[in-house]
Amino acid sequence: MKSAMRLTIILVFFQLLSCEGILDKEPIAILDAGSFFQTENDAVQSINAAYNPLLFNNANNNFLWAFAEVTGDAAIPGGDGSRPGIVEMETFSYTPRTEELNSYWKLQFKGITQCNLVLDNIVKVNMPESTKNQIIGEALFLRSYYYFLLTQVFGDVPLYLKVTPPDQLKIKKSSKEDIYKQILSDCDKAANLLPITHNGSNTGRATKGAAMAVAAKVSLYTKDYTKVLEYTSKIKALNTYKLVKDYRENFMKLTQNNTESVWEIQHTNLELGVGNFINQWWASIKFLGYGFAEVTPLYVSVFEPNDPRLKFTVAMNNDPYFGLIYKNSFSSTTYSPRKFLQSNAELTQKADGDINYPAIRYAEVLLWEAEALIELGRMQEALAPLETVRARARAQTAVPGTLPVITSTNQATLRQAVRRERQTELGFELHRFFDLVRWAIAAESLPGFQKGKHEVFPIPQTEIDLNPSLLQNPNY
Amino acid sequence: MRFFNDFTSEAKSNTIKYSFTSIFIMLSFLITAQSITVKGIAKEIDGKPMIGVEVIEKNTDNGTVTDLEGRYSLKVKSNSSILLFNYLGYKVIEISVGTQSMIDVTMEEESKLMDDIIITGYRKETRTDVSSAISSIKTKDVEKLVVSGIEQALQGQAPGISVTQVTGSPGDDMAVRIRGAGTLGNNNPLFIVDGVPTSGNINMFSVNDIEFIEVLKDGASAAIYGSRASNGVILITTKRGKAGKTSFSFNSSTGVQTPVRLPELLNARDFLLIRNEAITNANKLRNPANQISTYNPAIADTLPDVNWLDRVFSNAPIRQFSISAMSGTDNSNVYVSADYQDQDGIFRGQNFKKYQVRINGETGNKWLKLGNNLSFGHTSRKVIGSSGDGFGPGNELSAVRFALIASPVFSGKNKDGSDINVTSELGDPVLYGDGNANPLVLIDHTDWQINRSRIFGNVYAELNLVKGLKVRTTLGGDFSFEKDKLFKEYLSDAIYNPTSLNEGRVFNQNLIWNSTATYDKKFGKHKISSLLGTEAIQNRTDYLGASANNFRRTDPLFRYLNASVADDIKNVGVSGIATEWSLVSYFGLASYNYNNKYLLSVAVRKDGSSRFGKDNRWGVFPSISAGWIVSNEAFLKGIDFISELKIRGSWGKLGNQEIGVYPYSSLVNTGERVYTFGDKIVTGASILETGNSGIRWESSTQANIGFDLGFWEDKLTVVVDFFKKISDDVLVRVPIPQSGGSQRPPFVNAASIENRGMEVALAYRNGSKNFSYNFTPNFSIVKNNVLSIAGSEPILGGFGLSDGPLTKTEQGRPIGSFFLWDMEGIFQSQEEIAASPFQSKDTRPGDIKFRDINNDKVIDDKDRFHAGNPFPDFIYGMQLGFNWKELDFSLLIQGVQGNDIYFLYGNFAYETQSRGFNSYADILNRWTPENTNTLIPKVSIDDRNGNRRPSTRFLYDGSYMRIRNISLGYDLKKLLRLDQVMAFRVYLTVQNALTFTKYPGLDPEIQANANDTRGLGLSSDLAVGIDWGTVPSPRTFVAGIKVDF
Repeated sequence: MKSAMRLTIILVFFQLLSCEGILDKEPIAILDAGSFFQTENDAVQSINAAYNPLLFNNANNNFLWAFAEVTGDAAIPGGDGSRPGIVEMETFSYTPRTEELNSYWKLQFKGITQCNLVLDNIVKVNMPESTKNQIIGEALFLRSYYYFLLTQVFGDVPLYLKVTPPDQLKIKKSSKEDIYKQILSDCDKAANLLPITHNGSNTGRATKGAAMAVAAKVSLYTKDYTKVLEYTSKIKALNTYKLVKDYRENFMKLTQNNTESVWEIQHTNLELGVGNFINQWWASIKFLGYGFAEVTPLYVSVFEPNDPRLKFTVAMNNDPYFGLIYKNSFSSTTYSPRKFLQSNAELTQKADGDINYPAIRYAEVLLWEAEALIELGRMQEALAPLETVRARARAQTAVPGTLPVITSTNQATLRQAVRRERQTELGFELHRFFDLVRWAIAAESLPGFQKGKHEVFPIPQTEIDLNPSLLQNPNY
Repeated sequence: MRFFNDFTSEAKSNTIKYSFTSIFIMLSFLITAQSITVKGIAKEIDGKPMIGVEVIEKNTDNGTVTDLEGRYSLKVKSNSSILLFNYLGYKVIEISVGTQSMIDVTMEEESKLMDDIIITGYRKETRTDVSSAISSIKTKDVEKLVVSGIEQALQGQAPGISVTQVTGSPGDDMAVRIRGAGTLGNNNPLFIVDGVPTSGNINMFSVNDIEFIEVLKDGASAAIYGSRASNGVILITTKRGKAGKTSFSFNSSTGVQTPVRLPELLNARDFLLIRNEAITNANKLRNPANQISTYNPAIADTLPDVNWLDRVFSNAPIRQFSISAMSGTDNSNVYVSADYQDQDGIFRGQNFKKYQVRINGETGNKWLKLGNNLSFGHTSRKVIGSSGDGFGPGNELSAVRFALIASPVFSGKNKDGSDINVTSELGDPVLYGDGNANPLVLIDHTDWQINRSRIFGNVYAELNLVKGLKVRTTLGGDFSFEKDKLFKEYLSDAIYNPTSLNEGRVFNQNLIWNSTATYDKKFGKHKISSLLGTEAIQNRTDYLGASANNFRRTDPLFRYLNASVADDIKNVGVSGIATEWSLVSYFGLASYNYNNKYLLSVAVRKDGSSRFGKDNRWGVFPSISAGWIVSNEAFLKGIDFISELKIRGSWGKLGNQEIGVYPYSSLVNTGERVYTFGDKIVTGASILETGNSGIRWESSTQANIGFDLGFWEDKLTVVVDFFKKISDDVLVRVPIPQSGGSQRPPFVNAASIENRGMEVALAYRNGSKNFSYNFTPNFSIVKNNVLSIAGSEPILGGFGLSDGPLTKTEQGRPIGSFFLWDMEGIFQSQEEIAASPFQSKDTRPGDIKFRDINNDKVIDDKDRFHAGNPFPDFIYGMQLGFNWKELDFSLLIQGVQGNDIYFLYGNFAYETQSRGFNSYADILNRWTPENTNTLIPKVSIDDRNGNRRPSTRFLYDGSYMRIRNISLGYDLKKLLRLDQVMAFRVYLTVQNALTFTKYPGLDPEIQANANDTRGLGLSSDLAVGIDWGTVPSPRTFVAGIKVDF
């Protein structure tokens, strides 16, 4: 009996005394955030990830182009109209439930959170000061750019400047003005930290000029024209940027990241990884595309006679079209966009193009300068930057008398001229709707646009449900 | 596995030393003189000799078992000795020896509720001693069902257990819920097979091997399993050989499954009619530039007219074959079985095969026994995506969705007979759909096989050194190997491009070691029994994955990684990772029975889990239960019709640790290709998940009051239970605003949930030798209610089609309550629209009128309400059976009543999308100015009014009653004069014979869907009862033969 009891005791009670050690289990091959962000490589890896939400790739569902061009007057949703959200953009019938708005919201905040992760953690990393500063500059710049993209579409949005614990995410919106202020201050800091150019394996990272340009653009949106000029002259003073000779080089694989490129989103063809989906979204259904954006006759009519940029931007009947001959039947409007498209032979997958999106070209910087000068009443000075842009286009046609030099100093005339120049020079570069709103002429230009409502898009319903502190934008 | 080695070597030396000492001591006692020899035969009521009946001299260790002819012979001490005749499932017979030297007995089958042996945590008990809530299911309850898995065998058998199949595809999972959903996370019960816990793939075990299934439902019965028991515990015990004659059993069946409840879709002519009307209606509101032209109805004559469901659904065979043998002597026994099953899916391209062999054996002497339960199983499953979930991109594998929405004018073939892979080859997406795969080609281009091999079992040693003291140590293992191979052959630019192969290997090893000591003692009217135990579980899972793109050839011989054109690093990928968790536990229980009248039992378990941070690792789970057997009181002795009356009460605390493996850590995702710099693709690191080091055990307390009643010698038995279970600190990933970036929300101990309910199980058994019958209905009610959520903020779920969540879990509501707009009706006129709250500027007659819930004259997001929930008001099952001479018949009915289902597929079935998707033929009854008395709105390819928004329009009553099983058998033994065999039964069975429901979807038996969580990492119990359109359960006709000899 005794021995049995002793045996029992041994078996039952002492069995596990040596086993409790097995309760300590560390995650295998998954980095714990606590132990991450120790090395320079961790910092570089983190900032790399902060660029990802810029892409127009398959995973991101980035419909900035639909808000800019379909909601604007340059395109209608063609093809099969099979993406209801895009049809809604055209007709101003989108709602807080429209999927494209939700994915866009998520995307920008993904970028912002990643930038905040970098900014929160990089301080403690032991690494060369110069690299550290550059990464901080990139993070500040990218966060500014994401916030700019957000406010363009949604107006007031919540502002997070740190990685925010889940229980503190439910905050109110900050006003657009406060967000712009933050962007300006961050861009100023970033401009001080970023290099003027990058070479080789760093091409595509944010630069000093890009930070100044975003600041300039924001100043244009706040109508602080003096400030716009301050920034454009700083950009010019970098002595880095000039227009390339051939307009088309800005949209071709081998001539991207040229001297005109101020801020350019980089795409590479890689099995639906980091490539450009616009190549399929915008291509005609006769060209294995979805035909989601078809050029309106109105847009075609904006061009001055023989402006070569029309053919560089729009495909029409009997034009060569990436190895095909474009026919009227390729689109319900008989026109299709050309930018960001390429021939199928260059790619492994249609939805995975490798044409970059030049978010800010030097030509645009010149047009900002012109616009700011005109709004400040300095007509004479505005003529030069405007002419630089027109001259490049003019040089690309043999037809005499094309794009005559503008000499008028009438503010209204010049204002019209620069606005048209933005349409023709920067066509389908995702600016149009936001320009119309900025100039407060959307209601006249867009049937269905309701003043006091459609200046901004509705906050996604899913987000309002998840964060009840958010107020829906007016009239949605 | 260091700890096992360390300990076993140390323990072994001790064990051996003590065992030898003890054995010698005991042997010397046993050599004593015995005086009288008693002989006899044990028989069944019909006179058949019974083998393996235990014959024991009462209050001694002296005993034997009957042999092939039912004979026994036993030396007993004296005339005053008493013999006990015992056989599992039969009444125990007590006979005083007196002067008799020949004692024959007739064993009677046990119908008494109270004397059943049941398996409870780590031990066996008689039901008399049990005061907690346990449902038992026995071989004979399920052996005639011809089911393909254990979970299916549970359907409708006992109250409080709900079993739902996820889809009707062979080999698919089942969702088992005991007493409702107690947590927002994993609600699966803990399965323990022969003492070894397993969390999944229960369908690998053979139903033919099952001896008992016990469902531990209340806190007191399950508390001995502590931190894993809060969803209830299902104990499965497999068969063992019995002392006596060797017997064989052979069972073979074959059958056919036929698709039922397939909806009628539009034919080509009606499809065109509806298309044209939808285009016309949309054009009225579109800009001229955006208008689409209609089709000439006459083209219907020139276009194909295809019923796509007929092409993908067809009759499918099912075959089962099993054989088993058992044998035993006093101290050794063995059970061997083999089982084979082969089942095609009614949906083209699906198949499920199962092979299993089992050896259960035991040998030893009176003091030490060594034994094992060991099974080797293999399943292979050919998968074709069978749920229509995710109509968006990225869900290309779901062939059923393409079949449900395929345009009837899409023939799938070119004029020359070659396949059309995608509808876009024909152009005209408004007619044919937008890049939809040809369902048949998609099936042919998908080669997805999941194979699992598994070794599962245990080895144990049991010591009986001192009377009443039993020490048992068990080493169990579950080793499973899974091979997942998915080959996708190029189909179109958007689908399966490029041709790719993904291979995955998962190796899971779960080791368990437990030791228990039980001590039972009877003195006078007191009976005590106690148990002490320890347990250690260690789990490791290794994952390996590899993929390659672009293949030179696509025939099966080339569907291997080496055959890819892997000339470029970007075409191949590899991944590998592992996870580990462990659990260490101490437990004990003591129970006391006074004079078979008063019962008391207490248990406690202390668990340490590696899934929690160091400070919150340990949890203690106590329980108590008490019972009063009123029928054994003197004052009830005179009332003859009451044969049993027991009142039970219990309380227990349980835990839940099923929250992922490393929930306390913040995790970082690395190595993903994120961007390009200087034409070089770079990788990046981003936050995957924010951890919460402060999380602690989720715990639940459950109180239960029950009554066991038996009338007329237990011809009628009634078991009634009332329970209340409160889960606290429920762990949930609370969805965070999307402005938090892509991080997955962390687990927090956020909610408190209550499940209250009642269960009733009745059994009526009666009959004579030639005719017997039974009727066993059961019924249960569970009310689910969220008591509180931290911060009182609701948790959203069911992110279906991007138009916001479908469910909202909040205080005072059931989990996953549907939160929807309310359809009031259909606008009949412009005047009615003008007089109603504003919906949209484009609202027109024929659009849905939504209810202005907050009365602010605008229909917006504040006009949603709790419209229903997926929990049934009650569930029920009933079995009716009779035996008349050689004929046997049984009928099993099962049903749920009062649950709601959100018919998400209604977005297609009752709508006309802009793309050429087909709809239910019911859409012909849509609103038109001429047909106004309908609930289907006008058709339009646009949705300006938001008719498709998540509303009560798509919410349906999901009640159903299903005749699950009808079976008819006949024993040919007498007819064929097969005296050698014990039974020769031929049978016919129909499964899913009929379903009564008003639900319009393909199958009212639907569960959650993993896809509706939209990458938020949320559990699917937040969004149960959302129907994307799935493969329905087939009706199955089976004929078979079972021979026992």
